[in-house]
Amino acid sequence: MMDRRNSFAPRRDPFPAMGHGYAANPGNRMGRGSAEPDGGRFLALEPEDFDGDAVPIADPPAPEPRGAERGEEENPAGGMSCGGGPLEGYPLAMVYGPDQAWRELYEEEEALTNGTLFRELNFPFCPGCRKSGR
Amino acid sequence: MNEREILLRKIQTCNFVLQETALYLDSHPYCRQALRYYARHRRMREELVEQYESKYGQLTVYGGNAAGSWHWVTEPFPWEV
Repeated sequence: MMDRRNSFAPRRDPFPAMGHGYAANPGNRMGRGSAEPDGGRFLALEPEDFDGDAVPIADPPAPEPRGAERGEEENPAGGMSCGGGPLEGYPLAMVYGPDQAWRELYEEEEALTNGTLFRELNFPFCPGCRKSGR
Repeated sequence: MNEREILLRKIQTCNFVLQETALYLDSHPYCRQALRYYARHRRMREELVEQYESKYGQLTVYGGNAAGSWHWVTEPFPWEV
């Protein structure tokens, strides 16, 4: 067995642009290894999986220290106040939704009591029930 | 509810639907129906505010003064009604 440090083998990195192998980080909060939706396509290979011919490469850079480690205060709502949060490390996304139309208006007084002018946007917070509020 | 409270409630309602319409117009700036709705309720609000201030004094410091004194401080504040 070669010296573990010097035989660090390349891993399949799902997000190579991020600069460090995400799959190589077993301690991350999302428990990513077991929750991989496509059945472990990004499963990390350990150095032992490679024979002695593996080209020695440098260790991956240490991950950035989290805010709390830098002495910053943790946001009680989760994540750091300037971004991040439990999905930190995943690529950013573009979100799409249908275009709202000018229709199904409430009468004025009813709008005020419902907190919206638009019936389509009335989603009362009602855990466990199916009431639509329409 | 007394007459003053009813008037205030109507103004509050107008403010709310105007705000809702403004948010809609932010993403649909050429929607004619929304523009008409906005214009109609803005006029309605103007009339209600005029009616309120002529009877009970200023609704905001920018409002019209009924005359005689600075009603903003001599009359109850709108949120005290």
